Amino acid sequence: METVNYNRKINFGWLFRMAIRDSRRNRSRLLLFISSIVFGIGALVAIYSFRYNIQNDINDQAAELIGADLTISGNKTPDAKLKALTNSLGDQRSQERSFASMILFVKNKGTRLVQVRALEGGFPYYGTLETVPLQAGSAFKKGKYALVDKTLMMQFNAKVNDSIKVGNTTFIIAGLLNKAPGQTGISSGIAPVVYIPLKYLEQTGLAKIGSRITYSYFYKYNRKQNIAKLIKKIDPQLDKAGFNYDTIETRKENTGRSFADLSRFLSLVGFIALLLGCVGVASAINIYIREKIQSIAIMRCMGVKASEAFLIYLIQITGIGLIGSVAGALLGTVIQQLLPLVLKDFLPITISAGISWLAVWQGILLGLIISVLFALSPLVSIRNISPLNTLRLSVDDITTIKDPLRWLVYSLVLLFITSFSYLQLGSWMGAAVFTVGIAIAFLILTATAWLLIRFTRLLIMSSWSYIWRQGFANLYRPNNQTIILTVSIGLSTAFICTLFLIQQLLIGQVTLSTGENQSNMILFDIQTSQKKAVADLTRKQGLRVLSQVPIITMRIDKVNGKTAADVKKDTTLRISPRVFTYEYRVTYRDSLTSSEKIISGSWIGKAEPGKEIPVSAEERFAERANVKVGDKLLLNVQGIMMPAYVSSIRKVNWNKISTNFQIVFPTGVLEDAPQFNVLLTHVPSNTVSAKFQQVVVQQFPNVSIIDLGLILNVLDELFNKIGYVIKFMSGFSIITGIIVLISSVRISKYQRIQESVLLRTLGASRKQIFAITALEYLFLGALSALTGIVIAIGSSWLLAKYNFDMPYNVNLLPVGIIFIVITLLTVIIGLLNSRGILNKPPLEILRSNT
Amino acid sequence: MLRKLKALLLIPVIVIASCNGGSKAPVSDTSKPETPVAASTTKTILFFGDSLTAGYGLDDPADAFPNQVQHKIDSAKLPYTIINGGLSGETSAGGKGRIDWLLKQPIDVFVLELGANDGLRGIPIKETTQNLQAIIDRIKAKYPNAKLVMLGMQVPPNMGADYVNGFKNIFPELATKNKMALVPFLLQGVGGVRSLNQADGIHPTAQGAKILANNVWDVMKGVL
Amino acid sequence: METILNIQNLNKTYKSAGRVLTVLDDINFSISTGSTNAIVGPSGSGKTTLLGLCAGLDSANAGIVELNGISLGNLSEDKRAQVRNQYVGFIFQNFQLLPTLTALENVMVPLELRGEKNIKARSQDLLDKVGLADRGHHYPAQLSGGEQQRVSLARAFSNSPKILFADEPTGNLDAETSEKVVKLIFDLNREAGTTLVLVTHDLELAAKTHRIIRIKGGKLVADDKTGNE
Repeated sequence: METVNYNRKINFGWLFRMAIRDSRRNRSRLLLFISSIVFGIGALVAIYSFRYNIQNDINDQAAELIGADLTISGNKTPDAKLKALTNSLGDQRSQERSFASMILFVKNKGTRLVQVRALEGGFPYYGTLETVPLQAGSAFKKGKYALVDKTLMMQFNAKVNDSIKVGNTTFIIAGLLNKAPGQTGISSGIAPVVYIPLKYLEQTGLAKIGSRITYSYFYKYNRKQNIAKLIKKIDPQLDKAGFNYDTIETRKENTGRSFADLSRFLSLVGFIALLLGCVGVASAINIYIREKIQSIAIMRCMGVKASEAFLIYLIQITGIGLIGSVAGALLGTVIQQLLPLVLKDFLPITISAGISWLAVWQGILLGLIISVLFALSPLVSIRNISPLNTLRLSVDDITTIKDPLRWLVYSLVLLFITSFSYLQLGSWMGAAVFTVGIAIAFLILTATAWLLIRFTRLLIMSSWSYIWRQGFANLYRPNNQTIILTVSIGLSTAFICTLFLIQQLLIGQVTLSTGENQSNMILFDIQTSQKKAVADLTRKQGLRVLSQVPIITMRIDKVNGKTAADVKKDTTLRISPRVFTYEYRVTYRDSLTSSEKIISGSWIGKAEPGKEIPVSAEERFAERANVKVGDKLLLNVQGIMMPAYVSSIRKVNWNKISTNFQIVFPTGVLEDAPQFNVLLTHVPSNTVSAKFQQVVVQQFPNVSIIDLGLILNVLDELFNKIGYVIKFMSGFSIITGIIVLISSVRISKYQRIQESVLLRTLGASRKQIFAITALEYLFLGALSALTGIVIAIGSSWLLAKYNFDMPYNVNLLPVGIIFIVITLLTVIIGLLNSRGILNKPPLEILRSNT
Repeated sequence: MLRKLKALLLIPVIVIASCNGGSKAPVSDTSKPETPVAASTTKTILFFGDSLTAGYGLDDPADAFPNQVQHKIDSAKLPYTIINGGLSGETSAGGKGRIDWLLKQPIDVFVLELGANDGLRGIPIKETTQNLQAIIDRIKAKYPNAKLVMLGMQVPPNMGADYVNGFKNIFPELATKNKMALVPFLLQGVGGVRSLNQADGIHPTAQGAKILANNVWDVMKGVL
Repeated sequence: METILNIQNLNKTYKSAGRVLTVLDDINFSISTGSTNAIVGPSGSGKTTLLGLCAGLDSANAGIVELNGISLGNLSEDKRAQVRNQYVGFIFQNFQLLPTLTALENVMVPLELRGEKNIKARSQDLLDKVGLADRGHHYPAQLSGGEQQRVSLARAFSNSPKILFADEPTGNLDAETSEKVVKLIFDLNREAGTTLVLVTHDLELAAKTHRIIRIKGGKLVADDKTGNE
């Protein structure tokens, strides 16, 4: 007697062949599976590409931001040792001395405080000194020439070839300076830059003992050099000498950080799109495998091992997943070309739109992981399909709870979601919350579906018409799709709706108006005596005084009778010691501004003479000082002690560009106190701004001005674009959600065919079947959408409160629309599915389905 | 992301704060609140000035030079109490607006230490001179018998010779004109000396403030 | 005579709605190599369950099933699968062809599983024998019931099984087609020297075998030789 060979080798070639053969007749169904990951992967690849491109661009352009490979600077005269070091570094080196000085515009005798930079050498090595005329940037070093900041030129009506006197030396203006490496808008606004050649510094007589000069050294390395290692070596010496360094790497980090947040948010959006895809994958494969039970049982009869059957379908799903991922990556790469177009004008760097292969590979890999991982849970149940199914259809559930592999898969899924969201969010805490949140949403939906099954069974009354009974009974009868559809529709709705709500909140938050009422110029240090004159001058220039606020400096001496010393001794008072060391800038007025809201106590606008002063405390200040309404404060207003009490606590919207205060006094107390005024106005253009500044500086030399116009414009447009990107990417997720919805419902078509055909055969009218189907889907769609929306409202509230730290409100109208749309969509897709059945003679369907 | 944007929007608020003298450090105006009462028995010296008077950046604001002058007064057993009327970031224009508030209390000796911030901002010489004169006029009007002390100041040479010289001359000129005792340069022996200044190179350390107090005391002891 | 299948004290129970249902109760018989046998009995008598147990599709609660000398009771489902692949052929009432495979591919599956050579040619030969030489590239849905059952026959014989289990092979076929299929089963069986175990309630079909085992209410009630040679 021959023996049985139990150790048959796994023949992968054959498994692959079977996988391909088996997919042939199911390709339309597998297409749904593909489409649910295509968009998710597409969104993700687009965002990743964008992120990597930005990263590369920052890497490439950080060099231009610093202008050299290494910069060393400090405000002390370098000693011999440091000098030796500074002379030993780099293949090319430049140096600069910078300091504040008064310069004279010879033509009109105007003097102005500027930042003089005396430069020697080839700096900048990356990028250029952007000047008009172009060649002035390097040509000025050849003689007694200077480069002068463009706003300064405008203020003094200076032209190229005019003269300026720096110290004892007269320089000819060689060009107007637009931009220099490492220069930011705000710093140049306060002290405009003037470049002169270093060789004439001695002549100016400005660099003497006692001069406050910053020494900077710029280095360029011709060959690649490990700057980080170099820094590590020289840092102790620099530190000892009180010098700092800046490298391309450190600059990259600083620049990259601001974009990291934006791209992280976009990644989260993409992730949600992807998760929707996961839902699609899981539900599509779940139902797909259910239909494959018979085929698998046959194969098992033929002697296919459980593991082999599992592998056949795993290979199939992996293949389909690969196709979907590649398609998604392709789509994402195409979309990615659009993102920089949208954002390019508003980032300080030029964004390239090249294909990021890293993003493409990541997208494909991720798509593969997702398709396999989320298909695994239905796939492992293949192993439990008995060959006995060939003889009689078993009603046994093939998904056995006890299967340890199943739990392994669940933990893998959880692990995946956690670690992937960690990659997106950058914090384990956030990732954990996110994962738990999704798990809870999943449980809520499963519970809802379970309750629905339980209750409809009890609810159905025999008095109902047949159609109603049948429609509802479909929800709980064997092979029902209640749980799977509720979970996938509900989860999709929850994701879409959360995204939508957060998007609305975000857009609401970032909408800044550059309208006339938005201040973009701040004048400060206006003395009380100048208050009226400055306001008049502003109006005379045709500008509006948006607000004029007195500011008084004061300190806090005692909180509820406790001094700084008491607080240091007794930490149980829970008063921050900083409360006493801080110099507060307070104001007084008789009413609240639009950006303030009283949250406890009541606002008192006028102090009564001789009584304690009722002051209003800002929420966070009240927290730090541990004070409530009615608590006592002893305030030291520049030498005069003032007993006060907290009459109200305010919430301040710090987002608005306006003057906000931690403590606000009522009128009638501080009118005589030493104070200066701040005036906010709106200037419509740069020309107006320059002219206004010129006039103000002439008449009120002590008044300082900050022009926020440019910054605000950039911010405002950036916000618009961000809003656009948010909408765009969210739109992507929403499309994925709808596709998942379509595929979930469409897949269930195959479960209802048999039944509908039977009913047709038994003589049910088309209208009746239509009504039964409509009722089933209406109920499923409505309940799932509703549950999803409830989850979305909860999760968006949590996100708004804890993640984005912004006030929450729900606009119910769009939410209602989402509800109706999703419900209708479910019904329509459900009906479209059965239309095929209704329009064909029953026999044809019965035959094609055996 | 939003937080970052918010931070950007806060810039104006922060700028207001920082341009008016460091707000984070334990800056003082340690004018003693109890002095008005004490004034009936002892005499009052008001040090009216900027961050140098206030003792900006010192761990203990009591190390500021006016407070160290108080120790010398105490050692000399003179019946004077000082009021520290220093305010970080104060300019001459700011001082002009603030002086009335501090003159609510009687003053026997008035020490004027203002102008350094004007110098660092390149405020025109004429403007600073006028403001300081206005402050002196205010004292003279309210307390004609008060003795006046002027603390001289200089700006670093990098500001340009014209400005440096013009600025340096403000103080002797005003002192002569108003018959004030003059400390020619408050930061004598400290300005430009690394070890006696804080990291910013402008504000003296406690050790530096001691030298400031000596500079002042050399002149003041003759006044009291 | 050699015994290919040996059944001793076979018991099979199911749990249903909390009650234990005895489907097979102490069944004993053995089948000799090369013989043709019919298991007959009314609906619900347990004959399909018995077939499932004999073929190793399911495991018994008690008793011994010995197939070609291998005791199936001790084997895991995966091992039984390999036993099936090497010794057993199946014919089902509803054909059970893989709908996504062509007729030819369906026949090839058992051979491919065993990793044999010349699979395509051998499978094509088998299709020729059942008269479907030109239908190899059709999918099951494109074939009539009789054609499907003939493909299924070709598949059953493709791995040269020692024993062939047929579950109501004509149950879904009209009389004329039935006759052709039955003739084919017996012809192929004789040619290959395969043992045949047939489950049916068609007594006419049963009468064509050597031996009829009657099951009723889960018990073996009769075991008769038919006298056919």
